[in-house]
Amino acid sequence: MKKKQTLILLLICFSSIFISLFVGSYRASPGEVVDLLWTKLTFGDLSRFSVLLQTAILDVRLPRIAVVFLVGMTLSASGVVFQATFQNPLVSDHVLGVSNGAAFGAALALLLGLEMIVVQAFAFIFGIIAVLITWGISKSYNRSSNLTLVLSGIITGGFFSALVSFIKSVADPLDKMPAIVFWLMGSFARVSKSDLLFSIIFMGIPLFFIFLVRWRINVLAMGEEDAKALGMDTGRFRFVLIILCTTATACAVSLSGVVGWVGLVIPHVARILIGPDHKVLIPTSLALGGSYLLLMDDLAKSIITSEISIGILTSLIGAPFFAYLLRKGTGWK
Amino acid sequence: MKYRKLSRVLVCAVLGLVFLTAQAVAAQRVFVDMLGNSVTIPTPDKIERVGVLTSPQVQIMYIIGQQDKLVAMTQSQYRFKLFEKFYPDQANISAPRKQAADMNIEALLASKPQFCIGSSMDMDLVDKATRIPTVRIDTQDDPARVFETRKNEVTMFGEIFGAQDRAKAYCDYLDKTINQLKEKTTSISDGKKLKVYLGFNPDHLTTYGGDTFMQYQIEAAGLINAASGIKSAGGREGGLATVSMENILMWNPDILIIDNGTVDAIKADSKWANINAVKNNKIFILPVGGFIWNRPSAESAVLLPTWLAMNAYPDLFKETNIKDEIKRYWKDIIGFELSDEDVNSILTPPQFTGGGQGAGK
Repeated sequence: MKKKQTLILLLICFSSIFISLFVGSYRASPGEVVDLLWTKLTFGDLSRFSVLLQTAILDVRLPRIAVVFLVGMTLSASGVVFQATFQNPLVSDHVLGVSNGAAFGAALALLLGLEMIVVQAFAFIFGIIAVLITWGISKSYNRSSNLTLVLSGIITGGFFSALVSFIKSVADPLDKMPAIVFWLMGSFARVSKSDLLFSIIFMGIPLFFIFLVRWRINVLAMGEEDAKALGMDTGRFRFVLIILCTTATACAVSLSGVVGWVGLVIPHVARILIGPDHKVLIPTSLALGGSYLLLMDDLAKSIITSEISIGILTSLIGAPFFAYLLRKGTGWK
Repeated sequence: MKYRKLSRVLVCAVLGLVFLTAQAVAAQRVFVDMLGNSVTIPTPDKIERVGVLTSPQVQIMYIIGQQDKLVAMTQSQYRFKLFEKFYPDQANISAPRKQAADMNIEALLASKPQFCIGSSMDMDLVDKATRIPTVRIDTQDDPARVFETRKNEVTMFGEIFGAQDRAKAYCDYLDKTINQLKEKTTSISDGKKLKVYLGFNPDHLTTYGGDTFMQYQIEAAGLINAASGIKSAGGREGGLATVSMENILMWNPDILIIDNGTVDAIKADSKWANINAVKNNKIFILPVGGFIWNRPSAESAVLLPTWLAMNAYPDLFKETNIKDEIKRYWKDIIGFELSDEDVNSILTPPQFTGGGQGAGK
């Protein structure tokens, strides 16, 4: 990666994060926010700031920025990895059924009237269970290939999405049903400091590994036969990558609900900008994905007086943008 | 041969139909519903079977004492067991309407209602598939007229069933309650009014903004809606909106109302800890009575403002308490004498309601 490209990517990340520091419904002047952050960073005396301001910025706004950025990176990196693994430009983070599984877990927990933290845990666990089922189905075929895995994902996804519909239909329409609908639309409004550790473990660490092994993904993208011809067995590497992406995506969905299109649009944008070499494609996708979702979340916080669901925004903006990209060519080889 | 036989059958059928219609017409009248539509329904003395297919309004049948005419209702009604305690037959009423725009037409037909009452969305479904006459309530009225709307609903039900006295009793009760609250709280200057935040769903981040009916129910209690600056696209009778924790920290409400989770869980959460309501221990769980109180209903129009005001300004209501107020409403308006246990079940509703599935047939 050229120095200039690295610099531009870092600049994009930092400016999106910087802008987001000042976007939120707690009214605080930019000066106040900077003052507070500087005092915190230099271990100064925080007592001159109101406790509510401290909570709003340090416990709510900053953690939300971190989580949104991590989720954005996760969805776009998973998109790149899955597209390479399955040699299919149309798959994204949802391909193996993780979102539908997570949606089912959350809906089930909300139906049972469980606490928010349990709802999150259910979403995470069922996201992973869904992918395990997908894996199991594809293994049950005599000849397991990329295509059978993708098809198994579609089967599992369809199954879980029917279960979500079932839960919606039996949920109390007065209160349980609205809670489920709000959750499924996707939002970062409920994210706070307590989600940070969970995010770093289940999104940060997998992303770091994907970043470290990014050059090897090129081998996968060549296809199994070509890789074999080069004397490489890609089976185990593929498996590890899928596990990493699944864990990270399940974590992302459990925090934010279903946020569509990021995993499809960002990888293609990155590919058009920088080409198909995963050594640079992965960092580009990470930077663009995180920044894009962060700016979308800033919009979600500010275009109307209440919060608009980010899932709605990413689809409303993502889908037309994708259509535009297709006109220009996909950058896919 | 064949044709002669057929024509004889036809003549008989036509004659029979004419006879039946003549009889029916005699016992029918044209009624104008809340939306101004004219609909032909039986006269009050001929009403025996009716479907009320809108959740918050089923309780009006009890308010006007006509619950024995209910043959079809909405599924969520099974959840409100207090009615069942005094009118066990409720458990056997068919519930063809599951939720908005989700109607089991065959079950509705099987329950043989003479006519149905509901909101336009559901009544359109009934019109489309059946010939059952439909009476519409108004769900799009100006939210500022929330108390008027409630009275209009009950009055319309009263007129349909010839139970004008019971309907008027409710309207007077509502007027009196709201006026008394106004008198009590009028001494509080605007600067001293407390701010209340109603946080629904497990994350407590869903609420009613300033353009909803709830704004006016809160104002009637002499309180300020913390979320009054929020505009919800839905507005009107719906209008739930999502807010963020930053909103709540900025509003810093004095009173917090939740419908999910526990007071202890909120106290233990550092995000909430510095909010006035939490510091002053003013967190309350929303009651569930004849219906959930965070929706527009006849009961919550009377009791929610009362309950809010009593929790917010206990000093102004020393001579009375909320338990007696709830008992009085249920006795005077519905005619049911609640036990202490019943009142407790309203004030601390069970968290798990089993998803609203009743044992109805």
